[in-house]
Amino acid sequence: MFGKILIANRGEIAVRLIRACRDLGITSVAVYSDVDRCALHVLQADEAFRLGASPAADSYLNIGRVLDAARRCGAEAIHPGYGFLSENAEFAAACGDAGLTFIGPSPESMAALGSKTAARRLAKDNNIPILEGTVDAVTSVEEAQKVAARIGFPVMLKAAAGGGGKGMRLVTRAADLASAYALAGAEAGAAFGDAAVFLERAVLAPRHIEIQILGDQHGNLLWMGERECSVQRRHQKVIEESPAPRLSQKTREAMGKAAVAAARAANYTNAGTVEFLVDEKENFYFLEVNTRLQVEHPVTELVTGLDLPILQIRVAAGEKLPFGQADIAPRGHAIECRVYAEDPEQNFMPSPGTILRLRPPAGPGVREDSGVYEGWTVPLEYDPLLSKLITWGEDRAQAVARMRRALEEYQLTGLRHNLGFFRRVFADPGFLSGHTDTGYVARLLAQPMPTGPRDTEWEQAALAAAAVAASASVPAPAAATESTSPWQRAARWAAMQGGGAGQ
Amino acid sequence: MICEIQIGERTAKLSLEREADGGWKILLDGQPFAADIAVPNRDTLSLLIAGRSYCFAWARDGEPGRTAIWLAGGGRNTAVEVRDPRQARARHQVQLSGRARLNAPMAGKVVKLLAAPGALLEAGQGVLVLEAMKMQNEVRSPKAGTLLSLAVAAGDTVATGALLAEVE
Repeated sequence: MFGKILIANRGEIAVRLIRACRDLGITSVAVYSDVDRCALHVLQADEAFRLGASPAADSYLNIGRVLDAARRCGAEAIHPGYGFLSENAEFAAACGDAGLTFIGPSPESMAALGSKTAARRLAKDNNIPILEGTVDAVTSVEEAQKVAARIGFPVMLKAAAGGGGKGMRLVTRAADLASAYALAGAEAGAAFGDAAVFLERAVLAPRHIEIQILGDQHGNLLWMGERECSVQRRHQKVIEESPAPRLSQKTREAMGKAAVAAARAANYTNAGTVEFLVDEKENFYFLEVNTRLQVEHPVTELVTGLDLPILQIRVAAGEKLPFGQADIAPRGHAIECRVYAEDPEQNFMPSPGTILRLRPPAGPGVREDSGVYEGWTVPLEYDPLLSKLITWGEDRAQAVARMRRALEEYQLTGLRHNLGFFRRVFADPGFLSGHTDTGYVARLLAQPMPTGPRDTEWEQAALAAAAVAASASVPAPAAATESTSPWQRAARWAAMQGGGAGQ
Repeated sequence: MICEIQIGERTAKLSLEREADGGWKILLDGQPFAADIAVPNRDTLSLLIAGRSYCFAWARDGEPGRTAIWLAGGGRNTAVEVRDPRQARARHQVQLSGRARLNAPMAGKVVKLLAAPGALLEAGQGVLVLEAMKMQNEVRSPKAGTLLSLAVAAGDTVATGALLAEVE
């Protein structure tokens, strides 16, 4: 087993991995960019090393600097988390060359599966169903127009190196293809350093269901149930759950077997996720393989009782998986909400800012994997994920009830975020009955906001604002009085009057 | 104590009066509420209104020049502008002039300009592309009209709320 692991990531996943190291008695090493000097993962790790300036290219995406930090601290292994370098086969190979264990699949497996185009080819060769489209990247707008004309609109443009919705565009008519191609390519180039995009037939309103896989270096390769990830905005998941509602056991098992077949064809080891589109008739189509730990891994952990980062570390160290396929027996139901600094009323645009108040929920069945704290300023350089809120219940209804309770308890303010959007989802009959597909969020937002509760909401906020105004003259308990000097109180009151007292 | 508040697009007049029993009488656009207000600590407010308990964490916006307060409670997150009613009238008159200002909806980098000053814009037409957190977003004109001026150039970094362009 390793004595020291460098975590080549930031945010909630870095914190999650620090916790896994701590549970195993392994020394954890954080790396950071300038803007992240006081990020939570730096504060929590055993050791921390600076990578460079804030742009990802100078820090978290810079292979040379990450390896240099690993050399300086004497780490034996590197966990890449998700995003950044996690699916970069060149990085995995460079780790090996530097005598470090890359906690993930081999560079060869990553190359075979890591790019979406390579994975499509592998699936096709192994008789796993894929959607019609180009197997390789398209190299010009003209070629894209030709292919689109052949398979018919709507089509989906996707970054070959992509993930997380970046470099992805749905195109419904020929006139929009050129601009979408340019934007998708530019986004893909900026996010992944590779502007290649390919094109496939778009299935409107499919379900997005994925299979968790895990393999050791002794030939054992298992699937660990599925996750339903259809609730998406900007082609990026915001709610995930396991098991998938309305999925027959027969389809579930067929998908599990297809996932293992794809992984086996690539000699896969460690954790990975095989993503599928599922249509109304439960036909499923292979989408891609994420050759890394997934953002939504906690829902699988809660229903299987297993700790995925710990298993990743164990198999990377050469240990055998301590269980077989028959031992994987999911229990209950888990749901995750991704809490983002974004504004649901402005088309979910990122909304960086300072977290002025943060009081996360707790209680039975509630887990929160957070990467932030009160007072932290969310930088605009990276993905605006703040934390993941996950609930578990004996069945879906209980998991939902616990999520509603947790959302109500959650106090987070100072910036725009999407907790209010989740409250709306968890009150929606369509979601509650499990009828979600990738068009769900757009349909929900097209409905008029329920007016009754909104008015009450408005009224309560107004009254609370009144209470703030009044609080300047409400006697506070002794402890609070000490830290609220008359000067602060006077300044606060002046600000509230619109005077702004210049601070 | 009288102030005007704004939440989203909606404004209201608030007046507050201390009652003899220590409670508060709040008039929200003339509608009366009797509230018991307590301050468990300096970041927290407790309101009891007709026996219902509401608890909020609150903070004053840290941006210079802002008079907003942030409230989190009951699963909600709200920014409330609190201001003197006299200033509110002055603001209103500016809005009547028919000129629309495009402000940055988020901090980010201007990647590309899509229209030049003098261009005729349709409502919803893209004016420029702003990149933040790796996402490229079109900032669109809120109304049909002429693009009067652009306050930014491609490559500029802007803060949330920064003036980008004016449309008339």
